[in-house]
Amino acid sequence: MPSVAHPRQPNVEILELREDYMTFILSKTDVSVANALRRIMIAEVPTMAIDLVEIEDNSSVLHDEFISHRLGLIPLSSHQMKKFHYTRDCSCQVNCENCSVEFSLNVSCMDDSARDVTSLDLISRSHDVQPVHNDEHSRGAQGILIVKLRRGQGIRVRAIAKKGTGKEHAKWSPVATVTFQYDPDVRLNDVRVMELTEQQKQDFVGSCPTKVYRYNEQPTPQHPSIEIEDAGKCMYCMECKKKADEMGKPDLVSVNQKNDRFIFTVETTGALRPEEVFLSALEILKLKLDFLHRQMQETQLS
Amino acid sequence: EEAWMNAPDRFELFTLGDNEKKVVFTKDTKVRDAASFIIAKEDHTLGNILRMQLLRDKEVLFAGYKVPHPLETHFVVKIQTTPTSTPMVAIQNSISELISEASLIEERFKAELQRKRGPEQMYM
Repeated sequence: MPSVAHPRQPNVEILELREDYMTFILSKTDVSVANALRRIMIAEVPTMAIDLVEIEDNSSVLHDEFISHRLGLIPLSSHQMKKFHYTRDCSCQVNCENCSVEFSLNVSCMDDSARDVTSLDLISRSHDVQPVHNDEHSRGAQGILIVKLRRGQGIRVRAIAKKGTGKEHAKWSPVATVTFQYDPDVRLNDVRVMELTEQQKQDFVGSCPTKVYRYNEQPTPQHPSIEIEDAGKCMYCMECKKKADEMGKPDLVSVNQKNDRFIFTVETTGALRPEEVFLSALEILKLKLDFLHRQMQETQLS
Repeated sequence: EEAWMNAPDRFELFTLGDNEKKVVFTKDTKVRDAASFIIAKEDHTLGNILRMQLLRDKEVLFAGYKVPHPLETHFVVKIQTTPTSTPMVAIQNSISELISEASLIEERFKAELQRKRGPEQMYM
């Protein structure tokens, strides 16, 4: 029996969706919900990452733990996370196929030219969990560079990848960056606009670094002399407000935030697709709340 | 030789200890219809949304949360309600409402994905 005034009806509108990048608008919800989802996407969505490295041979210029650290940071495709247990929860003794994936790296340099050891050389035992190499669109060599070898140098390594979350170590974070910002609410005072000279209008439009406004030389009823071209480009730098103050018209424009609309940007490492990250975050939020609910009921009974 | 000899294991940030309870309820001795809940192994992610949702409840007179120390992963929620309700009821309702809201967002997002992707199946 909800005793809340009116339950919210959140809405989602996807603006852009790519392999590793997504922007969408989440609206009609509170900033704490948006922030909770952002925090979960960064720290609590599980992925696979190399966590145990057994080095059989390393004659490269980088020392063992240096290379192990780099191996841990390589993003591994983690679309099948539901199949894996956390190693600490697994019924096996040390490792098994249900909680880990084995990788091998075996490269030696025989010829005179330098040999780049990259993520392409990292061989996985599982078809589902593979290193994410640079995408095909980026210029330069493919594969993430691990170490460079000279003639006579070699590296032979057995690496075990395990399931984990960003809370434990940043290598498990599926996300390169998640941000959200308020949707800008920019309004012009038409009466004040009419009071400006043409030069002042142009100065005002020019003061915005991201071209939120447009100046129309021949104004029509549909397109007044100062028009808001794209409020979404606003960065709240307040240069236009400063300009308006300078011109003696402080109420010329109001720049505010719509405090129930959030523009999310999700950029992933490639381990997961951005929509998978967000859906996983929602599921994790529900799981946390469910667990808390049950524990509350138990506490109530005792 | 390790610089982090005193640091606890990282998994202690989210795994309950052996004798640790997720929720500890403490009734307030001086104020009627008020209580504190200590939620273990959780942080601002849950604390802030719980507090926000409690404040939307008409029967809630006071609701606040804090993380007493950043090195200890728990938070405390303090709730005071009108005599017609109790803090336990209020927090239970808030949790339920948050679960519904999360489900709604999930539905809306999945619907948007279908729309964006067209008739092509989602590959999850």
